[in-house]
Amino acid sequence: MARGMVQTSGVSPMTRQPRQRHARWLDGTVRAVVGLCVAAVVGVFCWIVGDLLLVGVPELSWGFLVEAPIDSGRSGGIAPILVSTLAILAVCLGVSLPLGTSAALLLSELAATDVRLVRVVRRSLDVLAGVPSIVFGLFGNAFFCVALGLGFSILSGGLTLACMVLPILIRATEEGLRSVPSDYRHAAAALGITRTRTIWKVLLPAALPGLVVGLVLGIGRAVAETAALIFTSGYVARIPTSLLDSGRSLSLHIYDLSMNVAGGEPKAYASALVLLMLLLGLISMALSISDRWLSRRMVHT
Amino acid sequence: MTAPSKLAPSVREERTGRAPLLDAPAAIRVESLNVRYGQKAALRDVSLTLREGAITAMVGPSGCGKSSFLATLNRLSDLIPGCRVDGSIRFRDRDVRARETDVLDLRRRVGMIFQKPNPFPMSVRQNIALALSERRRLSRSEIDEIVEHVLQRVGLWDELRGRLDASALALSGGQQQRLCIARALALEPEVLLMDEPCSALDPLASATVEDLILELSEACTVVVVTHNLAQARRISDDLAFFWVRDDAGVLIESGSTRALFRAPRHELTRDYLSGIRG
Repeated sequence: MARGMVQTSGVSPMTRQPRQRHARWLDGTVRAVVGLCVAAVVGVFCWIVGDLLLVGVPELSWGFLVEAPIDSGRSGGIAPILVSTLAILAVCLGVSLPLGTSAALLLSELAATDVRLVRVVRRSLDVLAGVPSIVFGLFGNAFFCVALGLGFSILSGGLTLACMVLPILIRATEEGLRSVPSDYRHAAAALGITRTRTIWKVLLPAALPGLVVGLVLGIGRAVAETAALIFTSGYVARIPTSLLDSGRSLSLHIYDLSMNVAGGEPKAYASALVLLMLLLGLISMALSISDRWLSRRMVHT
Repeated sequence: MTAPSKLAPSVREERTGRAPLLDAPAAIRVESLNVRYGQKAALRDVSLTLREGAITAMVGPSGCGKSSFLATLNRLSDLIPGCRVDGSIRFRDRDVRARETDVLDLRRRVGMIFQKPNPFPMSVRQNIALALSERRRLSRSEIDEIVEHVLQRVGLWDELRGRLDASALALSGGQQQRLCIARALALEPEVLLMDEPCSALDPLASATVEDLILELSEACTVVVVTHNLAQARRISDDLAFFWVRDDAGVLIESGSTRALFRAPRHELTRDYLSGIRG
């Protein structure tokens, strides 16, 4: 690129040679620096995953997934922890998806006339998205556990996570809705289609990619969360029998094994590996569902 | 809006062998219409009557408020933030601008076709069925019947009969525009507003849509905004000429197309229609 620019600009023959050499040198340096940065990023990723695989894989077995932890998790498996994790995630998404979608709709479709309301809501969402998770944990403890009397429970944990995930979900969905061409809105209005029907049948389907991005980011944040759950869902490592039972999430289990349990390291690695696979599984599921759905409407046949 | 009847038949009459009655009642009557976007005036004091069963072409330079005029007729202007409309618009015996007017019903009776074809990202069939099933539940076979009927009318049936479940976005531009027209026709509108329906299409597709407009005028009143004077002359019965004066669109002259091309009352009209200005 740099070389091409030098050659095409009308530099006199006298100065072209040294400039060209300079440009070539610059080109090489830039390439080297960029390559180094890429290598660093890929290297760190490989190191983490490699480390996880190296220590974790020998611990992985079917038994690890279906057995209860023994001796504070030094042996046995993570079955109750998996169940709690999925339950917390289900509560979180069950609450945040409908709430988030409606809030995004309000912001992008219905409140178009009330600019001030939209600005206030959007500003507060941005602030919320930046709040450290430990603060959400304290809020969740004070509000859901104590004020609402839900105690240390999966419900409290899931609801706290929902508060955390909402800003991400709302902003991503809103972006998705905004990217829907206004042609569709005009076309629907000109056909006398009601707003509700337009939203359900035209706008939301077209905004699905944005919704899925929000969902993926949200799942990632929820599954990885530790701090907010210590104070809300607790860390009892038994299979929960109801949403009001306390339950330990996977990330909390990893934290506990590596910080509080001497000799818990290998199982912590194995749990981290499971967490990673769970995340990958959930994300690829979300993507493939939306892909299949979109291709039915968009792809040329 | 009366036209001297002793003139030679218009191009449209020659092509179709039909012309609306000279004393046809008004489908839409607009009086002293003003449109503003925020502080900016878009249209000033426009009064125009659209004859029942006629094709009215609206011509004039860009920014003279033709599209704004169209959007007030089906209250699509409601969707534009900051848009204010004053004046009287009557569609048959209803007051279009009245608060109690059922806007959704109005828009089903006064359909609109846009410059850029805008089919929904769904199948051909669903595009037509979406608005149909709004008011009452229709069975699959009823919908199929209407889909076939309207696709026949826009000449798409033979091209698309095997592809009704394919995405409408896969169609060519001309096909998409005809699908949009079919979608509007499925609601059996009484008036069809067309905002430069051919300008995003290639000449062949454009000619197809033009022929279609002529056929449609059998069933409904058509208003078509166009930049193509030759097209206006070919297809329209009546012509309305807009111009920009003091930064706002105004209606300079309206009347039968034939009369306006032959003997315009205003110098501006004469210059524009003969290609000297504009």
